[in-house]
Amino acid sequence: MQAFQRAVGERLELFFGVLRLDARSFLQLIDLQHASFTMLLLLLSIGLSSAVGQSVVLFINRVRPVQFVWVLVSLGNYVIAGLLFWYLSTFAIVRFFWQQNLTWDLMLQTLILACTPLLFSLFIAVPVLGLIIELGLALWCLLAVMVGLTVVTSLTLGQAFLSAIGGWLVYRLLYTLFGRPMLFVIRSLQTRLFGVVVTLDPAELELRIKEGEESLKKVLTEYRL
Amino acid sequence: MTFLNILGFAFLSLLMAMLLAMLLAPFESLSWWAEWYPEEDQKKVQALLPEATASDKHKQFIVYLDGIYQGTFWHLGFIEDFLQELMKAVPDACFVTDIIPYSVFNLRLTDKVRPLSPFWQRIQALQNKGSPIGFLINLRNLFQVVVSADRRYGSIYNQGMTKLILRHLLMHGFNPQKPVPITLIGYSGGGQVAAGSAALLQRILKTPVSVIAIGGVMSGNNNFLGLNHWTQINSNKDPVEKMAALFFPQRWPLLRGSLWNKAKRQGKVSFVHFSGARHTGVGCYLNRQTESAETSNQLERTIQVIKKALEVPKHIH
Repeated sequence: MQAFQRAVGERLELFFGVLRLDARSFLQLIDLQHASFTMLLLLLSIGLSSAVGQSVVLFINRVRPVQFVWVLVSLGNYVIAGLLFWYLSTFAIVRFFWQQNLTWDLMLQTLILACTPLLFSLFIAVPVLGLIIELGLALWCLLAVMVGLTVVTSLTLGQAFLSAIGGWLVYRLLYTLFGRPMLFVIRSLQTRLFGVVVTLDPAELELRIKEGEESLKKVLTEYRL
Repeated sequence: MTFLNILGFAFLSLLMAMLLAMLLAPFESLSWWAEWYPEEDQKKVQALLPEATASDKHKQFIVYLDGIYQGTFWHLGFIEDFLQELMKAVPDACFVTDIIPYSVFNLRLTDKVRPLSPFWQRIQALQNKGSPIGFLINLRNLFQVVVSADRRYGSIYNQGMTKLILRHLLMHGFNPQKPVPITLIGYSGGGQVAAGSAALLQRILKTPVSVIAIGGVMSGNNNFLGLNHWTQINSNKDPVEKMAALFFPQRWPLLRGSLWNKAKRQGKVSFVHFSGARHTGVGCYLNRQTESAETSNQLERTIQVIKKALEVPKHIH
């Protein structure tokens, strides 16, 4: 039990180090025993936290309380899928553009660690301040990616910055091209699995809100005057 | 542990508690939207409908939306006093004063339906005794104001409040077949709730809806263009009203394209400046009591300003 507590304490200390953008903490976490398991836990936690941060879309979709947790988890998976695509595009830039000899799993671990600030992304749901928090977390992650890449490669901070931004741009391009079909597949899956039609498309969400405004007129007919 | 460590820990805990409370703030309106709770009050409202509709008797409807201290249907003594004076001054109006603007379900914080009702009952008791801990109610309601002003949650919260106001108007005898003008009076945070609902009410009821915001705290991204007229009462001694104008960037004159600034340019907004009126308590806009014999009775002036604002020409654009 004590060993377990010590291991948890040690990992927490290292994660705080990553949050402080301490280069040594990145290396120590990657070198840890069962690092892959730790990274997987971190990735799942990030996915869940981000899903909570974006849970307003589930409410707009009028997801029932019973289905809420399942749909929230699937939204978390969707966030994780997005992150993995971003990893892929960043990896491609580092490997082929900057000619860095880097293994896929080391890159993946580094980028997952760099996303540690996203553990706080549930606070994006905070009214008004959420948008500032979102921007702050994105900048924090960008800095962490830069530090992480300079630790595991011979890239300079500037090159690491270009890799992170380039990776993100490629990811957005891919999302613009294939995002809608992907959303359609996810929606079909959710409908089959949870029996609820969930849309993540901003235009459709806005339409639902507008429909709500129109439905307010029904109040006038509720009363026989 | 040094004193500084303890202080730091306390500050961090307070910050986390605030963030968590803010995180949970939209839950009530979101669960209303998602229809997680049945709306049971419809039958009760129907039972309360008057036989003769008040629109036939009254020339206008006035809806009062109270400040953020309100946790129940009770108003503070000086607010009750103000409402009584206003009713005397505008005898042709039907008054709707039974709305809690910080709950889309119009639920008291102390209502047993709420999971935290025992906590709020204690806080309410402390607020009644004048304890500073009662400020937690203000804080909770302030978060609802922020929800109403938020880009993501605002339209949901404001629809909930519009529905609530609609129902209460009907309950008080508003006749949609013969609609008369409506004025929302929003005190402090009630200003944001009024701003969020006014344009929607005007569109649905097809009658002019104006707002009189007394020390109004509101964002600048509400649909000010879709309402009849906005009267903003402020004072040189009201820092809360001034802070709101700073907190919401859309109210900055720099952002000329914001709905607030457009409405100002179109003459839909007028300002009435008070001298020496405080935001709340003794010497505030609605209080007969003054801090000293030299300062004037603000209540009388507010009533006069409201009477004048009610005379603003009413038309739907």
